[in-house]
Amino acid sequence: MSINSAAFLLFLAVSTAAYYAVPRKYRYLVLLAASAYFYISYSLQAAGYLLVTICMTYGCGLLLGRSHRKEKEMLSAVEADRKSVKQRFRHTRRILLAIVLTANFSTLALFKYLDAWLEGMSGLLTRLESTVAFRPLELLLPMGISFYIFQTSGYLIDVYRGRQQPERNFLKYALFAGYFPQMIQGPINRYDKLHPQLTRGNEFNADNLKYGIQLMIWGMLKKVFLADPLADAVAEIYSNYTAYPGASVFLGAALYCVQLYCDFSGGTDLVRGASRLFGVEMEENFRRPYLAHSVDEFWRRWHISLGEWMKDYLFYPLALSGPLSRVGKASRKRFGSYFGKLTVPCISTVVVFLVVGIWQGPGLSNIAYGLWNGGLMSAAMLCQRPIGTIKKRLNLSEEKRWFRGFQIARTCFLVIIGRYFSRSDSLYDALRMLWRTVRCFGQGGLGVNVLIGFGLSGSDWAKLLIAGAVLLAVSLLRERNIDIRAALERRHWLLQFVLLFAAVLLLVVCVYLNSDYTAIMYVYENV
Amino acid sequence: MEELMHILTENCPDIDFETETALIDDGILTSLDLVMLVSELNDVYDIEITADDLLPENFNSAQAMLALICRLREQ
Repeated sequence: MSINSAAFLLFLAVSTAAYYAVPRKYRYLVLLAASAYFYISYSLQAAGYLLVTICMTYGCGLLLGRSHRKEKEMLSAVEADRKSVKQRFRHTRRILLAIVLTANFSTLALFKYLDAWLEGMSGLLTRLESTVAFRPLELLLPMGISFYIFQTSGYLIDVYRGRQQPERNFLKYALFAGYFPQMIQGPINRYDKLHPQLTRGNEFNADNLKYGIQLMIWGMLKKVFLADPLADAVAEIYSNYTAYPGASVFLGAALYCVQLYCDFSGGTDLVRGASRLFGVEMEENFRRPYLAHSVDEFWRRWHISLGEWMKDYLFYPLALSGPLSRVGKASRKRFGSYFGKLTVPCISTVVVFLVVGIWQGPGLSNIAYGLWNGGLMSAAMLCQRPIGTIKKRLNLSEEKRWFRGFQIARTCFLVIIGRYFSRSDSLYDALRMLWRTVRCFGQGGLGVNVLIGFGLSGSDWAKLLIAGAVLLAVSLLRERNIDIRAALERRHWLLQFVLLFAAVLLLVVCVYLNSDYTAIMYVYENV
Repeated sequence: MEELMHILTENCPDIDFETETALIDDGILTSLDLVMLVSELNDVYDIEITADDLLPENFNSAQAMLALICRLREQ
């Protein structure tokens, strides 16, 4: 059931009606039943995998909670040797957590990388002239596996740290882990924010319905009018880059940035809107990333829930770990206070982005993508002081509009270069694309010919430019804290109705009544 | 408190630690600031602030940081 399909909309309408029809106490059961139906209709096998993860993390949460309780009881009973009691319990909890997190992430690795590893092994054995060969298993990658693995792992770490009480009700926990809107595009929700909203039984609120529908429409518009039309053009450039001049290759990478943003953020808007119908507000995952002033800021605006997850559960534990603390001390002695202090954050940042790169998929190009971003962030940290001095001397300030524009353009350029790696089939292809961009930038002349040959006609370009201009205008207004939705609310109801009707009509005509329209799968649907 | 204020202002000279009470909640202290600050505090006060202690309530103000340091020194 594609989330752009009429079947999904019908499923959503029935689920919403059922949700508000039952007493508040049982509303979470409606959401659980809807989630189970949605996931089982996708794949019974995948639902089985999800159930295993739910059972494993539910049990682990209970055991961790029990350990915390026992520790408290023992501490209140003994006066002396409290430290060793604490250490003993902490040690047990740490082992338990390590086992379950290893199992959790091994499952993710198995589904995402096993075939790539087997292929690599076979290739190696063939080179060694061995007759042994591994056949890819072609396992079905369960929908939203990354999202539920990250989400349940975050929950366990919070329980381990004593920040959360474990959920005792299995059904409520299963809903937290398998809530259907988050399975399609994320975001990676936090237990303390999502769980209460899911289980309290929300009152019917017409605003939730209205905002939910508006957000869904906005998300679909981004997907249908920008992401989908660009998908084929981007695929053409990345697969046949040798046939295009360097300028077209660069433009292709830039278009991929737009496609990915509209696809991912559009999908996220759609599922956040769907969730809002039930009165459940999921976290915002994008905050106009292409208007960021630096790569660091870009990553605080792009896939925010993943960035926050990585910060809390990987960056901090790594940066404050014993071995890195020792590295930090040694480097402070060696490089002085300022640069010495930056060593640990730089190492941790590179590791975090390496993990993000590996998470994107198998292959050296993803590792290069992680290293590119981690390297840029670390370089920015190291150069912060000298650049600050230069900016002061040249009297450059972010208050100057041209300088802000320059910073945004520079960030976009660096992000586009990164996308050479994340979208290419291999590291070799990414490097050749880069080489072609530099060496053959103006080959065949620059101009309209750069734009043609992507499989897009003149009218396609015109539609894309109009849609892109609307998106840019909305983004710029929101950047200035102008809430368009709130502004519309103040207008006459007829105008609101006409605008909503026009958007729905546009979607109905272009998608649901258009026999030529084929839904393109979301880029992050199976990650 | 004076020693702590000295460390804080030395590490993050642009932040007003005298008055700010939502350093984490309002995103005034970045993750980079926090990591550099914690490593310094661990060194100076001979304590072990771990990732488990990185809660907003422990770092939202200079007063909260002092309370955390005192608590960890007692342990």
